[in-house]
Amino acid sequence: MTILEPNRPAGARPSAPARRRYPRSQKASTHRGVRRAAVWYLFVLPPFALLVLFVALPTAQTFVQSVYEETGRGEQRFVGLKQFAELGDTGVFWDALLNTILLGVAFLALVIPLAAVLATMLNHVRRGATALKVIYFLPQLTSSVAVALIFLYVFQPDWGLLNGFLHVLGVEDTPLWLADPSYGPTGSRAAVTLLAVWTGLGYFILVFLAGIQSIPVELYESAAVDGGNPLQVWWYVTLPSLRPTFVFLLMTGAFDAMARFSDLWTLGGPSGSPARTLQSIVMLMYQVGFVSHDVNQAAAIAVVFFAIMLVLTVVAYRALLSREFKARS
Amino acid sequence: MPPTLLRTLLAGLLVVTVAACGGSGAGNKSGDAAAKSGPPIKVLMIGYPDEDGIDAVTGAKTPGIKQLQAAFDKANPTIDMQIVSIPWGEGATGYAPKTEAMMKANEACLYEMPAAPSYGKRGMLVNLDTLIAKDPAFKNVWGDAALESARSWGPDNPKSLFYLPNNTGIRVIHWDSKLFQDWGVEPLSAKPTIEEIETKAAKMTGKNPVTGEDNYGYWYQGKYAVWQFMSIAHAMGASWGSVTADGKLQINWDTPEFLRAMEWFVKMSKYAPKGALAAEGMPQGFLTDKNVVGIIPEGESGYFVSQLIAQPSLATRFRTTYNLKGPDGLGGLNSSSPMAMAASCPNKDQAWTVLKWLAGSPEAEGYYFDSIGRLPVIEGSEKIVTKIANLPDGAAILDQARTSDAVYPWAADQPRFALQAQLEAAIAGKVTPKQALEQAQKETNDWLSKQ
Repeated sequence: MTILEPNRPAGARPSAPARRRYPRSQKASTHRGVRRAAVWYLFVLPPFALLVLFVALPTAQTFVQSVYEETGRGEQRFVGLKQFAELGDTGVFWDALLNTILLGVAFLALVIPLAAVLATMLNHVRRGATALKVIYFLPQLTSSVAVALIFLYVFQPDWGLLNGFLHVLGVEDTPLWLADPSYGPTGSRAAVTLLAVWTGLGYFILVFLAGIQSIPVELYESAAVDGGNPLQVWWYVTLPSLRPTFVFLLMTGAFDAMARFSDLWTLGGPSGSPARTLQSIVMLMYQVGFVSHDVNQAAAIAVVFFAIMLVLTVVAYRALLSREFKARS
Repeated sequence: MPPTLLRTLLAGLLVVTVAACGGSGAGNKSGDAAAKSGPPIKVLMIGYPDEDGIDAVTGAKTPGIKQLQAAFDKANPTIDMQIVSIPWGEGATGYAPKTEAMMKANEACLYEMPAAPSYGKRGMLVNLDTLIAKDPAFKNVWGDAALESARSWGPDNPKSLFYLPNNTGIRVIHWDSKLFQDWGVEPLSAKPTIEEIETKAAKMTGKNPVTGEDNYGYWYQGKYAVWQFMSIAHAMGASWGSVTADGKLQINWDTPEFLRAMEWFVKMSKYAPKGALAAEGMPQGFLTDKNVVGIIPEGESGYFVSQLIAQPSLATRFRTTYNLKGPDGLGGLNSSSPMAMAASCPNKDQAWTVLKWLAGSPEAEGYYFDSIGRLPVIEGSEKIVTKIANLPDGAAILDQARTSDAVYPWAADQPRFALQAQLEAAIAGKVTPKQALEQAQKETNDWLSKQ
């Protein structure tokens, strides 16, 4: 008995059995899928290769170099953790680490509240808001070396712009800024913190502004119904709603502050003048590696820095972001 | 757009991009390669202008690096020299990491290399004595003292010659003759002493009796004060130490001579503008009518000499004397620019010819001065740069280059930074000079113990 396939005209050749036709179609489809996917993988390949070449391999190489030391003829000798032990014994390393943390904390403590307030105010500006955003953001687009060179003139104690302004205001005993190694609010650390705030403020404002504008209007309407005044609305609605923005800026700002280099190098020179007060850990790494040519010791500093950043990331994630991720999952 | 067409277009773009990234590999070869013999000799040079131009301050013509290339090709038509010209740069994009990378990749044969002794110590440079010994035509045009002061420790020889100086920037003492006149102070002598500088600087600090402006008797470049301190200490008879036969440094900062020098420096800093600690060059107003500083030690004359030439009235107001000299007649930072040969250079014979020309030919020396104001280091330099020789203090400017202190083998290492940081702390009043030297010695000893 011949069983006609549905819709097959009588006399026409029977098609292949269904069980054979299905796998062939699937195979062809799979091949097509692989071919299509391969094209996209091909596009991903160059940036991936660049990432491996310029990030992964140098990172691995840095780890390897940190456990070696160079002998007199440029040859390398395995020394285990000796470079790290020597770092721990060096006061210069701990000073640089302390400077890095101090400068980072001071920067974030100033820039985050300031940016949050300014972003809130900017959100209420009806005319010229775009122009103001551009003005705030411009320093971020300027070369950090150029900015540092300009601030060298701004903070110059004898004929600088800032002290000139203070003289006009009647201040006789003007601060020494970059010539003062003290921890005070007019010392070299304070000066470079002001520079960093001036540079980074625009970026922080824009991110806060984006956060503010994504807060649901209903929250403000409810607050208005409850009779909240503007300050209460800002305190109890805006700021809590900006929590993810705060976390994002705190984390990325901390990483940027820790990795600060170009402006400090321009202002402080290779020894982080005055009296090493401007020597950050990245500056020390550069000075040891490229001025003193001890690449292995510099690699050890880089590994320690990497570990600190890793710990910072994990702690920040656990402490600040785990709630968001749990809620999403 | 259909997906197939999109994919085709993107794939085409990828191919073009990858092909473009490949480059031709031809480099910046110049001249007629067919007439040349042997592989090209690549030379890294730092800080010269790429193109011919005009100095923005003096209006003088500044020849680009191609002029040096052309002069070499004319003098050595059979050698294919290729110059890789880079700017000094700053930090991570500066010359130092580029030099390190090029050395590691065997990119060039010859290097203008500020840290040549450090590379020599690592066994990465040729001891030029081996080439000099094989070269009957070699003529020492730099003078014995200059070559002696260029020697440093190497793995094969504790007194290796890893470079030839190709030009120099000198450290002299400038003084403003107008301010001296205003204050009724006798002009600075040709070879001033510590006592003379102190007396005259003290007299010129205060309200100028003629102009009523605040004047300062003394100046120091805060961020590089360590070099001034070394000149002062050397003049007071201090010695930093020595290098042992096996290349180990012995450094002594904590000595009575260094203590006397630091106490003197701290005392003199009171006669300088209070912002000098943050300075990295000459005082504001230098070479203008607005200058308010009388004595300016460690003046980097090379940077300014072209202005003195362009404006003769400046040269009569801003005068130049020798740096402070020690009992050996030497003094002042040796800031000659070293030209070295990489140990990995495959064609050392031709590279040696190139090196000798770049460091010792009048054409090259003249080019360095015309392009960036660096001074000649070879004997008879007054004939190469007659404009300097004709200045009121031309002899001191040209001769300081030959009487500077020997190269400090620790100049790029931790002992320098330890001393600099502690000197700054002492000037700022955070520590006493005694405490500063003890701390610098401690940090230096920590570093020395790892040699």
